[in-house]
Amino acid sequence: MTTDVTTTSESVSTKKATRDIYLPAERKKVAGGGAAHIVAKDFSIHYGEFEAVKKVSADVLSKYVTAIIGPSGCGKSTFLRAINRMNDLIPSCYTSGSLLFDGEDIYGKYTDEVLLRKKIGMVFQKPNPFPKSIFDNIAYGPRLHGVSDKKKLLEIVERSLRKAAIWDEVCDRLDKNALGLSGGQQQRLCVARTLAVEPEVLLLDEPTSALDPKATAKIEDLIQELRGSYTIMIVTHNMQQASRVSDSTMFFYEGVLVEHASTAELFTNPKDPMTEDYITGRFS
Amino acid sequence: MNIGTRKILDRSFTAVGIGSIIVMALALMVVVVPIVSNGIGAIFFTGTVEHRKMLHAEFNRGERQNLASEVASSERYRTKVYEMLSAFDAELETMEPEKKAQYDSKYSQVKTALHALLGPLPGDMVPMLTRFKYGQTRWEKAEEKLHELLYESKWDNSNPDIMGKEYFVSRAVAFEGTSLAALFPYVKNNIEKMLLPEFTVYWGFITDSSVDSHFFGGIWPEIQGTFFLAMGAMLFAFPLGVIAAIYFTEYAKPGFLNSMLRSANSTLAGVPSIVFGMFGLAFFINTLRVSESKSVIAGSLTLAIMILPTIIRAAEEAILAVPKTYREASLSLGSTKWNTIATVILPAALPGILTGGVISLGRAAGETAPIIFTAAVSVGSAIGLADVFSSPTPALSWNIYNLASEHEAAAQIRHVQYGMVLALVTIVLLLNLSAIVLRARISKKLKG
Ligand SMILES: Nc1ncnc2c1ncn2[C@@H]1O[C@H](COP(=O)(O)OP(=O)(O)OP(=O)(O)O)[C@@H](O)[C@H]1O
Ligand SMILES: [Mg+2]
Repeated sequence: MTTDVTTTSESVSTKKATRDIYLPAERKKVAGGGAAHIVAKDFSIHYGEFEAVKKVSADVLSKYVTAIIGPSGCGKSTFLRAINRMNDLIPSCYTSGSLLFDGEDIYGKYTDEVLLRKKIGMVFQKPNPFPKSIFDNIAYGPRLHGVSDKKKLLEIVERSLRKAAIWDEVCDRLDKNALGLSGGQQQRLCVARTLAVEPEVLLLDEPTSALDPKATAKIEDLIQELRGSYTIMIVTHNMQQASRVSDSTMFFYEGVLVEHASTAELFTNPKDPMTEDYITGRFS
Repeated sequence: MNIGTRKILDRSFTAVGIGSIIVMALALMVVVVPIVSNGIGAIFFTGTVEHRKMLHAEFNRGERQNLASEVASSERYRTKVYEMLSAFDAELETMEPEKKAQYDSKYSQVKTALHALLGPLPGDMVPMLTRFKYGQTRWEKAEEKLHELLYESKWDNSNPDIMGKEYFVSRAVAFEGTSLAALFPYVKNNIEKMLLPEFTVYWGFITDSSVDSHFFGGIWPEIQGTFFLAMGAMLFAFPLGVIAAIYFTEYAKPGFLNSMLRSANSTLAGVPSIVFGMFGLAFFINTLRVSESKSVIAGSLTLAIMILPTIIRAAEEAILAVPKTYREASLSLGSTKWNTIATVILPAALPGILTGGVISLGRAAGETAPIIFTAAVSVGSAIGLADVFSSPTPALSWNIYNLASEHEAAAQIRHVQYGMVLALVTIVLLLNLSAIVLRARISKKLKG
């Protein structure tokens, strides 16, 4: 681990110049942020014969928000799920190239994927609460990682639910089954459940696609709040949302990372004509 | 398709559906009604003083005082019968040998019938078998025996083209002119006073052990044996089956060996149960020598092998039906694979797993063939828990078959057989019902 940290700082210094293009210009910079937290190098993901993500190279900066946009089926979810190795569940799926987290190879032979997933939390495209009570859903992660004190758990549960802007709606029915919540509530519950583990990285796969504008605004506020303490990656189909909440944006097209730049740059001055077509809605 | 046709189709399908359900319900009634109405007769019936005597002597049950006065009152009427018999005995002594010989066999028939009706006659030797120590304990049987006493059954074979026809001849006529002639009307008129029929509720049928191979007493040894066998089978098969299912669904690498194992498992589920019975004898008793000969443990193991494929399949299906998203959610929170299985997958699959388990339990309780060679005996007392490794046991399924086909006095104790059928059906139905309730409760908890 310690040796890895030195390699990281090395790579950080050598990549300084390239990394700066991802950073927001006008926005407040985050203190202590901006190190390359996740680094992809020629990283490809295959489903059997099919190459869903093709030779992606990119740095994801720590404590900033990175948005991933692109048309449906372009590999956004696949890429995101690769980061905490959720694709391991798909037998036909394999990767090539390298993907580093904190300088360590995510797909390394000796990587503990359980520990990795604890550090890299994920909220899935479809809400997936457990068929347990709301309380047990949130407490699942903390319990897993050794918290058993009831009072402490309740504290964590409340804090997480508050952060995910759902506390007021569920505080009087924590013992009720989470499947009884509406889709939007379930999604926020899943956000809270992920936050309860206190990961370093938050992967959000279209977290607001099932939410009404009010709840969406709450999630966006939450992202703003978490920015600076977590590294956040968010997949979204909503350009406004990407431009509102993210510091840098990746545009994927058919598995290729077409463009990755600071959000302001990408939306106002896209380098690639394809990006321009997509963000202006001229895409067929 | 236009709306009209669609509606007609819907309606006709509804009609067909309702029709088939009605047919099913009727078929069920045809099975269940006789089982219940006959089986209930083992517990609720009109019992005679002989039944109460038997209960007192064999099970030390009933009020001594009450019984004594009942017996005294019945004896008062019986004495007259016995007096008539001795009077006729004396009369026989005075007869000429030819005339005497004419009465001999008929008289012994009368005495046999009287013995059957009222129990041993004064001067008879104390019978060896308990069944001969008492008269008729059930009123409906007593009425049959009374008829046998009053009438001799004869067969009319005069017309060779049709089957012989039974007809009855009054025995009183045969003894016309002797002192015994008065016995028949006397017994007929005073039978109730001699037997004191009374509505009886005999719960002991469930909790008593049998006396003289089910002639009297209850079926507790069978119920307990069934319980031991089925529970023993579950004890082996359930954990094993669930573990195997977890392995198949979560750990096994897909491939030739895996699919072979799975189809072998499916095939095993369809093997006739008698094959398991033979296998159990050959493997558990002759090869592994889990016991010297038949024993509960050997039977349980055999039943376990029989129900294992069903449990595995049910558990597999239940586990596969758990949404993949639960697994993803758990893993993404940093849970290990095993922890995910234990805390998310299995709880969610529990209703299905338990249903499979309970239905298998019912099957284990009901099967006959697997225990014929491995565990069942037709007569025996209830065994203790410590004896399961060495003793065979009676069991409901096997004893129903035994009473129906092999028991030497099957016709006289039909009510016991029906009682056993009812007990077995009730046990299996209760198990299935509990499976349904359990499933509903857990599902409700899971669905919120
Ligand atoms: N389990 C799988 N097996 C095979 N192919 C898959 C699998 N999952 C996804 N794919 C394919 O990989 C490609 C990328 O899918 P992915 O889910 O990453 O798209 P996406 O960008 O997230 O789309 P959306 O915006 O609709 O969520 C698609 O062509 C999809 O068909
Ligand atoms: Mg997606």
